[in-house]
Amino acid sequence: MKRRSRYGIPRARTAAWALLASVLLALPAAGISADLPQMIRFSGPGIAGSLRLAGDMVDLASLMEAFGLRSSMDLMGDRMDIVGEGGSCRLLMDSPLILSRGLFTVLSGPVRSMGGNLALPLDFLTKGLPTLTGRDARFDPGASSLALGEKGSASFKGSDPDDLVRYASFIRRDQYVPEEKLREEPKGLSVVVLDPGHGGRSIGAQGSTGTLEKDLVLSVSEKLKRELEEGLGVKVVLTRTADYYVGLKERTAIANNNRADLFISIHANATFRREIEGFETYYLNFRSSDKEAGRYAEMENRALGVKGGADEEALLEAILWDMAQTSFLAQSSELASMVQDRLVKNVRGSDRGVRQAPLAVLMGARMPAALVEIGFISNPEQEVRLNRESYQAQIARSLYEAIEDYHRGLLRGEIKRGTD
Amino acid sequence: MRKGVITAVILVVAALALLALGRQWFGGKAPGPPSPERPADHAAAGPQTRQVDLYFADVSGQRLSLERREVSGESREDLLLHVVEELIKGPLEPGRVRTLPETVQVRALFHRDGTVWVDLGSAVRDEHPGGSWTEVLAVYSVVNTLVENFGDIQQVQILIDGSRSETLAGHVDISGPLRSRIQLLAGDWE
Ligand SMILES: [Zn+2]
Repeated sequence: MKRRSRYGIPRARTAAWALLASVLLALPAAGISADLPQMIRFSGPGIAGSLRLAGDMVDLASLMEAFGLRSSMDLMGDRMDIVGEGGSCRLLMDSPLILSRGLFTVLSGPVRSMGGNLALPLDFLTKGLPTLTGRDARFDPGASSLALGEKGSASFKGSDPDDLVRYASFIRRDQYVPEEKLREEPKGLSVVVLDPGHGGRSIGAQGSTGTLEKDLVLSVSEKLKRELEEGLGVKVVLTRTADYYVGLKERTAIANNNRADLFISIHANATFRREIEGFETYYLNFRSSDKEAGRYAEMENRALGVKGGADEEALLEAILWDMAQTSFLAQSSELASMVQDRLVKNVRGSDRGVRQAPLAVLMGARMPAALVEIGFISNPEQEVRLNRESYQAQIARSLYEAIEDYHRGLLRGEIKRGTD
Repeated sequence: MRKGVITAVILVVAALALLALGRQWFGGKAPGPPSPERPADHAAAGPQTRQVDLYFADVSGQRLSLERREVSGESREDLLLHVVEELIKGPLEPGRVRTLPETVQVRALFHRDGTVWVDLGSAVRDEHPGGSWTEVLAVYSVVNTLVENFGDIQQVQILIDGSRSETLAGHVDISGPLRSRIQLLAGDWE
């Protein structure tokens, strides 16, 4: 017990957290039980009109029209900049974070796409709109009315960095499914990206008779690629096709840019003890690493007014990158289990299990992703076997079957697609 | 009766004053990169010796496993540096396995505001056998040993040859400061 508080949050903040959590839990319930109004009236010096609601959220299109806002969406479709006469802010799809003037603010829920339009949680009216319009805003939910102040009256306040810590620990993009996804026909895999680990200067593990991880995993990946193309008719992309190094982020980016349905990183194992052999499969832990600690320290500095355009962009990129895999963890776990099951069933070697681990190459993958260790080349016997064509073929076949299992699971609707 | 009230008031005021002083003393320190020139903390002064639980691997290569050892140093940071060196020496008792190559050097160690920066020589990358979980155990043998043995350490940032690195040896993310993972004693991430 004593331990928890040490690597948990500072104690003084715990109470504030609990309060916040209870307020947040109460919010959706209140929204559902009340008779929902269709419109929110707004008025202020020289301005009046109404905003459309989308469920218990405000419709972005009506906001833009009412206040003459402009917007631009980035190519990946995961963020949108909104500009008004008072200033600008950036929205992140499926995220409650808004970024403005170098400060993050946390909305009561994520920005969502509803029936082709974007909808924002109601507290955007008081947390985001003032920056855009340059006017103070007071919202009266009971009367469904928004009172706006004079032009130039808004003073933007960033939220407590504690909110961000809370946000990181509870937001899961798979907690809701956009309407259009619900009606989608089950669809199997169409693109698979395979990642042969290491390459070039990164040789990876090395066996006692000179087997190199980088060579072995490329050979197995090529075999698996052929099997998948012939057997499942899917498009397969390898992150490297020869002996050269590709950066870890680049590997994930290849999968993202190809809009892959699956990303599998293939490695060969090693450890300090030669006796150890077998198979292991990994998927990412929920918090991509413990680096939130450092990340939020950076944000806190930002909240204190340390600003810079390039820095801010880099920070945002880093957050999106770290969050990318979190919405696919259930599917990634499923994928990892299927891979491990097929390997231990078909190939000689012990079952060392499926685990979560903070593996850099899986972070940033916007699709289900796993890393498989296809055997220990630090074990002399398994090293010999791994060099055999037949053993490599068995491994490739097992990985193929696991991917086929996943494909079938999708078609039968047993595995849900991620929210992407 | 009245005297009692006055005493109570004095006590409360004194407690508040102490609290305020404590806040001023311990709070408000700006987080920032380590600089060796900054004056050492109180805890860092003078030679010291400590019983430390070192986190090694077990024979299965799946879990971390403890070995108790006495470590001393000329100052707090010197002590911490020796603790990491003891990890590199490897286990003395049977049933435990090293987590770091024996050729690794500890180039430097800084401790500021609950964060420790450990700068390891490139052997930690180049001589590491490889393997994802072997790398997890390597990283967290250092992190857990420092965080779990010293109450004033919350997180550890591993540097290689003086720089931040994306991974230790190609798999495990060490790009930021890391917190302890006590569940690794049971072979799980959490
Ligand atoms: Zn590897």
